[in-house]
Amino acid sequence: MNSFENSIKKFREIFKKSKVSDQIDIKNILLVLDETKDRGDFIFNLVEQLNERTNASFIFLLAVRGYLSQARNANIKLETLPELITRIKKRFSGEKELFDVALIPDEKETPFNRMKELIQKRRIDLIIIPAPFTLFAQEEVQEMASLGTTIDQVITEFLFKWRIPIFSVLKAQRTPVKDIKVLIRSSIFQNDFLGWLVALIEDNAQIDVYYSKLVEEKELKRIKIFFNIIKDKLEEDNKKIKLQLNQGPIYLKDFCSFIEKEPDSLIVFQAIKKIENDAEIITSSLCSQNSNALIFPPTE
Amino acid sequence: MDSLLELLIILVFALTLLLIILERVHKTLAAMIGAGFALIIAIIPDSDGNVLIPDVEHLLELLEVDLLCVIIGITLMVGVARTTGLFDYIAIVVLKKSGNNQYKLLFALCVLTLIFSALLDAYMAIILIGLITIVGCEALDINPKPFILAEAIFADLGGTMTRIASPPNLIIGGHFDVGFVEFFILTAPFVVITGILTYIFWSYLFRKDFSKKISRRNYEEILLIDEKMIVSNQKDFNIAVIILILTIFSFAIASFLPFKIELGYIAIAGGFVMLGLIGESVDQALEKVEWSLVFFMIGLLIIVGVAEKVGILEVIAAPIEFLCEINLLGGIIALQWVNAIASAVLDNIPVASIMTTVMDTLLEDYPYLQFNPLLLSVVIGTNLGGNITPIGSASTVQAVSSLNRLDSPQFRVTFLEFVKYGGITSILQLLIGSFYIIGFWLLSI
Repeated sequence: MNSFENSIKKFREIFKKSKVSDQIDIKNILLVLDETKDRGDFIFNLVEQLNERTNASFIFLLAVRGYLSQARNANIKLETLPELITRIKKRFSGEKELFDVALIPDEKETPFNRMKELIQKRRIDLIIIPAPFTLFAQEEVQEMASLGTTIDQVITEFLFKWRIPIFSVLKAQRTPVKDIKVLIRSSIFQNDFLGWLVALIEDNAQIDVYYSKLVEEKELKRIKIFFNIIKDKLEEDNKKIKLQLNQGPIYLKDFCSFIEKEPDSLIVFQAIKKIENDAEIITSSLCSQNSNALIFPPTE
Repeated sequence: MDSLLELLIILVFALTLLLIILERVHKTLAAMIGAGFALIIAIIPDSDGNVLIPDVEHLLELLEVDLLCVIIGITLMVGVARTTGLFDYIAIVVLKKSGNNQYKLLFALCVLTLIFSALLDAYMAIILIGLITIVGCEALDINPKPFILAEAIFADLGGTMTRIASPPNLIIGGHFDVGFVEFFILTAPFVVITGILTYIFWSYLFRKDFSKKISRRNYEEILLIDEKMIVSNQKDFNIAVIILILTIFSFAIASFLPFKIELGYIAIAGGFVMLGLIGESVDQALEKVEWSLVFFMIGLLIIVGVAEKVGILEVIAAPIEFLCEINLLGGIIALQWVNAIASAVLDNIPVASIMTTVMDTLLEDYPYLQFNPLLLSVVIGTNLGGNITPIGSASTVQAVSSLNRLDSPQFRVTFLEFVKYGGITSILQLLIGSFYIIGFWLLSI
């Protein structure tokens, strides 16, 4: 392939990235299961839905498996691997080739390190993880600005460095999600977000998009064009999803407290590239303390 | 000089031109082989013991070092600047501003091609803008053919506008020491008038394609493209902008300085500073220099220089001189058309090299011959003749090859199809050129 064809390919990629689509190309989803049964069920429901709407393969990481002896000592009953496989088989009979199960081999390994190992081996497009993480009936210590060690590490490493979207599951909601609240800040929002939302939401659900006052005039114009196209697309596809664009709070933390009043909604936002520091990570974590959250990595 | 040696040089000269026309071997290789043999013959002493090129100093006199420096400097500078995404960024902005209407889009792309071609290089212009045109047309769901072909034609037209824009201009401008601004003032009005008329003609020629409305959705999706995605390093991008502007500004003011500074000097300085500040890998950056063109020029300048020394080129000038005997202006106009036809079948670089000697002969033999109309006739002829056939210039070759590589057969263009559009347009442009030259002659400018 010569440089002309390479350049054409590069341009096509740029144009493709900007194309609005309600389809997403998700190859692999990593689902991390801790010992919290209700959130585990929520994740299973989510898998069922994502399985219907995407071509993704799923990797379950049974994050508590390596801690069996400690759990026994603490007299806590953990789900064993055969039990998990049975659960998956029962739920998704006939589709097992879509699923893969990973374990934490021993106590020296941490859930985070095991996730890292898996991510290094294959492309992961989404991580679904309970937050805060629970071991032996104890949630990881949450401080003022933390959701616990595991989730903080996941956000720092996988969201910011590896640029993988994170779906943090705080509580078991209904699935499909009925109400999605999206915050658009000054950064450029990724164009395939509709695809993600359509994969997660009920057919007659509501998507409320809030743009912060920090969004520049030029960017707002672009967002409005983007919404026109999305509305056209939804109409074409006969989807009854309601889409609203409103002006919202400036800062993520205000948005999170604003959403706190609507506990059943899923909040969606994109991390900001320039604030690739603790402040953004902490706010992201805090936001996830209120509601389930889908956090996109910052735009490159 | 012995007649046998003269005969050998004529043979080498003719065979080299034939090899270039037939394209059986790479044109650079043809020129290098020819130059090699010419140098071997040039060192053989004649019956008086004289040799044509006795030493390297005499050899260097044949090579236009300024011309070679411009090519190396500009291609290095443009190649490194390209890695910053600067040109792609500009092309995307233009596409976003004009992609809602095909006539507007044609106008914008043609103007951009003209500017890129005049300030960078015609071939580079068609590559840079051709890429975005193909992908943009795919996104807008419109036919890219009229746009790409128009860009090829405007690239050659833009190549007429400045002294650095095309190798023929570099050869002729360098040989007669025409300043950047002086050259621009001579050719720019012609390029603007011809550009406008070509645009109108082209719009008419492809009215069926251009009248098709662009879908609002497709255009809106183009608006969503973030041109900043192209820029990988904002600092390098800014450096590239500054150095390019400074270099072009230096070209422009060089004519007005109290001391002489050649364009090659500025181009080399600009290219080296760009490379140094942007920090591109040296090996990769040097690959961006058009070495093939540099060696083609070296080979050609040697052959033409040796041929000139034995007086072959005066023979080529004879028919033009004959016409000039009848009517000086008629001879100049004929020279323009001869140049155009020769450039359509042969590479326009050897044509321009040969023409410098023809021009020297004419200026020597006809003291009343005005230089500016003569210069214009050669510049317009050699640059625009390349648009007559798809093999006439590097830009037309690139345009046709990029269309023919597309998946849809409907976008492909045959030799005859190109001649149908390019040939008619070239004749129109050359006619405008003839009137322009007549105007200059009559006004004695």
